[in-house]
Amino acid sequence: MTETATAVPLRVGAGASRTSTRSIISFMVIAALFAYPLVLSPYQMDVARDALIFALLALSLDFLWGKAGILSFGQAAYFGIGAYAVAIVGPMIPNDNAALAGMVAGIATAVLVAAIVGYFLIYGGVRGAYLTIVTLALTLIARNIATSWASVTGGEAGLIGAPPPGIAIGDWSIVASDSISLYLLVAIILAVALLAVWTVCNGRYGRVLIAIQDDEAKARALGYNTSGHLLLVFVLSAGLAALAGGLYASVAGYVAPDLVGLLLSTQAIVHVALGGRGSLIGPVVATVVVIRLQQEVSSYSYALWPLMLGAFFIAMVFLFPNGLLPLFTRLADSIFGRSDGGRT
Amino acid sequence: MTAPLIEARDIAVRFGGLVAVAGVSLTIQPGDICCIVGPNGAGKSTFFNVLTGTVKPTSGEIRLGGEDFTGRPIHAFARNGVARKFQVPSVFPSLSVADNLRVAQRRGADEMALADVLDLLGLTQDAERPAGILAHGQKQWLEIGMALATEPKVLLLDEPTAGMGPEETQRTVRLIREIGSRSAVAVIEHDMEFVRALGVRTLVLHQGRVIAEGSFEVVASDERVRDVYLGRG
Repeated sequence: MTETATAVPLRVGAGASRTSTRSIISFMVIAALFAYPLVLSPYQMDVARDALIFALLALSLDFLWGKAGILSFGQAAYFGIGAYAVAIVGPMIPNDNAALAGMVAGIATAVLVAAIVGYFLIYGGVRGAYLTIVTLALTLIARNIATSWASVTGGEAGLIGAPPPGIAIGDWSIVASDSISLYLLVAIILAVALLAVWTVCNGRYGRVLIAIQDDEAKARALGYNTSGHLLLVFVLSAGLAALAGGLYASVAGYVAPDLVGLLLSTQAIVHVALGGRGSLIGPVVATVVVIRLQQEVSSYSYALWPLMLGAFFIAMVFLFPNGLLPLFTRLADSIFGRSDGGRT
Repeated sequence: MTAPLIEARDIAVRFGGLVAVAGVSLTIQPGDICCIVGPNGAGKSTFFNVLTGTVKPTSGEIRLGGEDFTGRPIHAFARNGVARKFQVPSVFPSLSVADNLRVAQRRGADEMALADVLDLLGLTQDAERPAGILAHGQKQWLEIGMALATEPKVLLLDEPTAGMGPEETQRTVRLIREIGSRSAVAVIEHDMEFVRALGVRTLVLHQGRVIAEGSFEVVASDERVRDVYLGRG
């Protein structure tokens, strides 16, 4: 026999323990998210709730950017579609399903827009920076519609009277209106979305997505319909962003053109980049931390925050391009004494 | 008598005025291992591209399992059990070695087959390491393994020892012999040492034509092959 005789058993141990460290950290963070607001004032709870909604937006981007390698400035467009749908469609529905109907309409519209735009781009072979630029245009168009089509969108003033989240079945109905229940609703939706995306990306499907990111031509040569896979993620991510937008409109009670802006897309990109692209939980944590920090800094000076964010962004690109999460996991690994933690 | 896995008859390929392949025939039966050699520009890669469906022949016919596949798309060839390893090693660098093979197993995960392929490649100890940090030779083996994981009927290898040292080349020879017991293998090479070590049916191409065919000894003692390879001197 040849060298094959000296083979040792598969080292599944190393990979498995790293995965379980990840899932334990993820679980702890999710649990902390739930517990955090219960010690806060209603105002702080509302701030935390909004932060979680933007975390959901960041999650939608991380799914697309981190897992499929498509950097999109279009998330704000889908967020806006979701938000405006709740504010426009919602009031047409007489019962407590109003917000739900608006969200369904918003998600469907966003998915449709993403499917049409994505089909022509992705199947047309558009990738990388070119694809990113088109998504940028998408957000600019959405913003223009929001400000210009005043008879429907309320123009610069936006719309008030978006219905609060609720469910009505027959005579029975329930509406979330106080800070605690609104917070819990948003936290549960975020947790479910996070676990869903995480589960999908940790299975066989996630491997295929990484393979496509690494070498799309090779993946195609192995028989994968790579354009189909990328389009699916593009569309699902748009649906997730629209869900975040719908939630925002519903809990805030109003929509304004700011929700469709390029600033919102850029913010989501910063959150994902900070948290660590592709880690899913990282961008969620980063969003909450950054918004908390922003609040803190802004109470001293409004001018200080953009400066700090810019400086931080530059530092990140140079010092920790993989985001903050790898730093923490390496720290945790060294504390718990895992020798293979920093190997990759 | 079953139909041969691949039957190429009088394949000719012209690119404009350039005749890359001028009437080459090759039959690959189950269990065959064969080698296609020739100097640069002999038309080896073009002929290979015809066998995998990448290039459509200008004339001639290609049959897989008796069925005419001339002019059909690449994925039709792939789905009929023709797997190919490219000249430049292409693996998925951020996936682990084992995950590279799992992605290649499109028909469904099979951990037994996976362990088997890892063992064959001598990469069992590296199974959980990212493929990107493997040595050049290991990447070549991994890519052969990925082709193997698709459970092909015929495995076509384009210069599998490119960039390898003598020791790695020897290992590759053993690997190809081992693979030969699972599927038919055809190899393109221009390294005569490798072809000698492999010692299988050999076709020598020169300027798009077969100038010699037979066992390595027969081919190596052929006058014209000596002329082409060693120069007339």
